[in-house]
Amino acid sequence: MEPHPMPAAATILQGAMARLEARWGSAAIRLGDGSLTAGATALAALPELSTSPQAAPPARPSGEIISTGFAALDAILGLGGLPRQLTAVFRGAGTSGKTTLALRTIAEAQAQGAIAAWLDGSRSLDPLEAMARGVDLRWLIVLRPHDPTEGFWLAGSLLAGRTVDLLVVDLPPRLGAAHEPLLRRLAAHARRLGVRLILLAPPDAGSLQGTLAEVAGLRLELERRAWIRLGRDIVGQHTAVTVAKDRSGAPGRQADLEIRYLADGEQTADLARLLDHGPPPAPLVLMPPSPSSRITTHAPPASRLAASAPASRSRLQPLARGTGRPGWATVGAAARPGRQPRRRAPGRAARATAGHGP
Amino acid sequence: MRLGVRRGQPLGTAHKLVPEAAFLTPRPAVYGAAMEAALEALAGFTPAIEGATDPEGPAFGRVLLGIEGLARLWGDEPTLTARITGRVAAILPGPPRAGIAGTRFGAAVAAATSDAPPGPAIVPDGPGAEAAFLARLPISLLPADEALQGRFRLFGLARMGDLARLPRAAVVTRFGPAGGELHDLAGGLDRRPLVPRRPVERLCAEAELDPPVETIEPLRFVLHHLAATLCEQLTAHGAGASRAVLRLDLERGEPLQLVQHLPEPVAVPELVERLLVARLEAQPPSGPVVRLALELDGRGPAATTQLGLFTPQAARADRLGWQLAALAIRFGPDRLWQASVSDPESRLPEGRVAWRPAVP
Amino acid sequence: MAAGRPMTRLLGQHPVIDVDLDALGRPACLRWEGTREPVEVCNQWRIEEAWWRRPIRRAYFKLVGPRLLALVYLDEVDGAWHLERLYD
Repeated sequence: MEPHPMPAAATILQGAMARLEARWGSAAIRLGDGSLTAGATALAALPELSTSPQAAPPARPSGEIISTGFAALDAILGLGGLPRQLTAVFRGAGTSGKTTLALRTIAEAQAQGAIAAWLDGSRSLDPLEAMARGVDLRWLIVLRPHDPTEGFWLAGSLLAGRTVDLLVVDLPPRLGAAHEPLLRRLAAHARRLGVRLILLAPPDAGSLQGTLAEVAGLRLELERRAWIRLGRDIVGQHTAVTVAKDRSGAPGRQADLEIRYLADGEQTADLARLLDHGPPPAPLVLMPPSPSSRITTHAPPASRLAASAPASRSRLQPLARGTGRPGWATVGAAARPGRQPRRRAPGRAARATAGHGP
Repeated sequence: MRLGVRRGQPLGTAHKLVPEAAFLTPRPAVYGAAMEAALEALAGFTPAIEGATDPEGPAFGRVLLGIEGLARLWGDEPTLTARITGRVAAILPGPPRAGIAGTRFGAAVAAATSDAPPGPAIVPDGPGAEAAFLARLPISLLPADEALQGRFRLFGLARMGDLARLPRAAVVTRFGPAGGELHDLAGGLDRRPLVPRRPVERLCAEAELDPPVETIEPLRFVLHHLAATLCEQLTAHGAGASRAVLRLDLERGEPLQLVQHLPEPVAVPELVERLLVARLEAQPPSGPVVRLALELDGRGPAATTQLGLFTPQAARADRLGWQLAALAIRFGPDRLWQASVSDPESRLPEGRVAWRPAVP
Repeated sequence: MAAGRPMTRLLGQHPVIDVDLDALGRPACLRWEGTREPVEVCNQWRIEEAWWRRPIRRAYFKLVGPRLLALVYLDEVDGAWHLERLYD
């Protein structure tokens, strides 16, 4: 299937939206002054996606509160985690740990049955790191738009299908004022659909600062306080998280998070252990907790991929025997019919590809 | 394989075992297409044919034919086999090996252990002949997993005959029901039926448009009816469409043809219609349409919800697949991605992870 | 690094960067997209591969600066420095 460009003609969109509005009602999103309807619901939920016309769409996960993955942080949030219909902003500079926090939140949501998406405009999401934080890659859709504007459209369309429960938007720097209404719309759209939206924002978001403050029901400020060293090497960091805004609780509380990295260099040993044998030994806490804060530690946990499905067994049926030899011929270039594929441990990598990336 | 390289092994591991090996870029689509063509060619001999076209599957490369009663049509077993291998020799790389036996397992082993293509390895007919043929062969040829093979070795069972000579009840007691099934195979008893390949059915419906149509809404109306007609036929066959081809003949200019792969085999006209209309909106015809033709590539059965993944998200996987397919049409297939760990032992970070489009 | 730099992890394209070396030949400063960041080496290792007959020889350095923790490597085949990862 050849790729197709986005429909550029406004008349096509207008016609399509007119038909959609006639069919779906006022679910279409309006942009700007309302004269041009946006296409975020151009792909609204299909009426019957199950092959059984009578089957109701499978229920979405019912968990109203999901953990951030850090118990100390959950403890200082008004609801003990992230509620549905919430837009959360994780703000911090590079190395603040906000990516790790977002990945842990995804992992927790997936544990409750969520399907997640990540808007990766900078093409920097590390699947290994995501997996190390407990993310199930099978249920993580990564959006890589051509530009930020397309990214907002794409995200809105994805949410409209009501299959994604959590969306993380890694906001690129230097977004302009033109993106403010798109961001506002996306947040409203997510809230209306009951989708959790997490925005990863740099400390100086420029003209988006006001919009972020407006749409956020929860705003966390992250700041790296110290490195965790093992000899000369840096193996993790201490991050202070401050609740700058919480619609469900009091702002100003703080928690300390200890984040351990997957080891570099001989990362394969760590990864193999992660995939097969569970989490590494409990990390050494190098900093005593202060009386007024609690430290939560996170080291890459064991993979939570589901156990492989049991190998199917041939169904044995009596062979109808007629006169003479029943007669089977096997033709092929296959290797010996012998052993079954080795059953992989949960999380063991799939077979190698040629390594082609986007 | 003598050096320890196995199918499905991570590339890094294989490279460590055989550093001087040349690793070629796989082309699964080419391999699958070649096997599909071979199966089509073999279907001319008998409808009792079983073969896998998915290069990732464990049985890929092996074709089973039920040849009972074919002697009158195609000659005796060596002649029949020569015709069969000759038919596929031009399609598949290298001369195929062939085996003939009284059971599917015996035939597969005969083919795999054959030393002399193009002639087939024929297991003698007669009571006990197949068991005698299998008895001297390594027990590793049985379709047992690594753990069970290891336990066979622990018990000193090296040949299939060693296993077949044991009382079946004792084998089941020691190795479980799987051991009992393997005992049967080793003794020349294979109750597994052939699962015949379903040929691809191509159903087509068309409509003349008079006067010619210039807007999409009337096209959608006609498309809906064409899809409904074809899906009804698919349903009657217990099949689902995995590919739709829409052709629009224009009043002026070249026809427009849209090929749309469907996320799963379905016989639901609304699903087919929705994706094709999205394609039309993304790539509208350049002029009035005078004729509309829809072809559905049917292969069965139609998809049902997969419950085997044992995760809550699996129940929504189908819905997600359709939604992503529609988004890929609108925004482009290179906007939606999924990642998987491909080779954790790769020393290069970029080699550990594989990215693939979320919509194939 | 500029404060507005994407808060990224793995950089898929491994952009080429400029690296100033100290007297011992180790990275002392990163220069990238108009910014200059003094760094110190906290870990290093080498990788040598010959996949598909295309030799790969990289010297990896984990570098820490006031505002970043980064993983860079020197491609010993073409002599270019590349930025592979920014930790977040």
